Amino acid sequence: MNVQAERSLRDLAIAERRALRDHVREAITNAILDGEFQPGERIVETRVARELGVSQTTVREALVEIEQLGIISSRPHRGVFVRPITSRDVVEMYEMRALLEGHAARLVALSLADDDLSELEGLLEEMVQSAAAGDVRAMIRKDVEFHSTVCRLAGGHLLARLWSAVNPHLWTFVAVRGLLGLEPQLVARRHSKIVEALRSRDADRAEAATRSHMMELRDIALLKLKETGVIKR
Amino acid sequence: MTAWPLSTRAVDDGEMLGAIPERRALRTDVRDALTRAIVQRRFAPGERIVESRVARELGVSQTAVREALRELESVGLVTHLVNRGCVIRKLTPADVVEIYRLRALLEGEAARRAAERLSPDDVASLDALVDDMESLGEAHQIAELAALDVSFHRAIVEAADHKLLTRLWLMTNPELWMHLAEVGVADLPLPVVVRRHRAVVDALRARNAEAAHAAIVYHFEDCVRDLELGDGGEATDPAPASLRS
Repeated sequence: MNVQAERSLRDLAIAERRALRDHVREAITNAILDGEFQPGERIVETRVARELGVSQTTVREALVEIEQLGIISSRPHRGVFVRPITSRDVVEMYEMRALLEGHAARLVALSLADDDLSELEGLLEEMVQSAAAGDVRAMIRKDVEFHSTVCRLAGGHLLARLWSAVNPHLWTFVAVRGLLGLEPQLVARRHSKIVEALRSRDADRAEAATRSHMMELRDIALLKLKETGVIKR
Repeated sequence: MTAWPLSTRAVDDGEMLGAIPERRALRTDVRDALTRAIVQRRFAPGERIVESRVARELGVSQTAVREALRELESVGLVTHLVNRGCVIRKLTPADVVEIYRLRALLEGEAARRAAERLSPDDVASLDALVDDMESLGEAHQIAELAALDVSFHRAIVEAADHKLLTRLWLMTNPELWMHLAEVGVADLPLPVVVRRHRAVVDALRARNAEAAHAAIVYHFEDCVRDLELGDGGEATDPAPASLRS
């Protein structure tokens, strides 16, 4: 076998291993979101490996990645645990999204093409329709896609990486489907203010609209938390 | 100056060791060794990192190297290319400008919060830090000055008492930035560079959140300007924070 072929084969093996790890990561993350693992519960590598029919190494690698998202933490000699969500986590998450996405919206407003605007309008429309139809999973997908599109249009590798590190997908699940109990239709409709501000191509207005979107959600979430007391203070 | 942890993990965890401590410690060691090698330019941008060779040189398993590389990828130091494997990412001027702008965003917010939280003692030690930077600048000890520079910015970020902000800030990779500063700062009039930090301290002392925010933003706008001017460019004096809000 020549060097090139050998390299291609190895790359293929690497790609397969990555795909498998991504799959395992998704499965574990979903299990946490769906409440199959409770906050504070230990995640046992061997059991997860057996249930998913993968190697323990793959599970371990997936757990390392999930730990970087901040939803699990490992303790010496004790294993990996689901981190309990605190109201501080919620506040910090919305504050950083306000900061990062406000910055992104400002950049987008300055260079928004008509096609990009139509794309955002389309996503808003789908988000509202999914929420109205009671398809919460679809609504969450479109919600996250809307925000990630704004970040993508803003350009920049680091911005995208920081945004992903805040883990908007996970948090939108937590906000709409899980612990925060926000009303999907209300959340969906609120995005229209961001679209309007972007349409005006006014950078200050776009930043302000995005920031208040996040900060208002933060306040609503905090109020909910106080009522239900589900989440640790 | 201690070595910078290049961790994307939540900094509040405090514990670097995980379920299988030896393994975790190893990955961290490998990650730090690779980071040092990249920052010291022992790898060229675009150069491929051969897992097996690194493993042999460091005397660790290929798995440990692979795990370390994944962490480095998450902070943007390396990237995986189809048919090429893991390569050193080439930083473009646009990348560096983006790093400065995002640091301005994060540290500006941190400074706002720090202005409300720092005690007079904290402000005094920041002031002392800038004094030290001044002496190092006069002695042209650039590497040491760059290290103190990172300590200064880290102190402000930590004073903000915001776990997620700190985690994101670490992702902007201050260690790499320190190296860039070390290389880039040499041609600038150092007193001017140091004075930019004094403006931040003054705003913090006055507990003026908006002025502290503005001083940080202005500080990074200067960095971007330096970059665009290239070597030998004229650096401007810091404008009063009240001019920028």
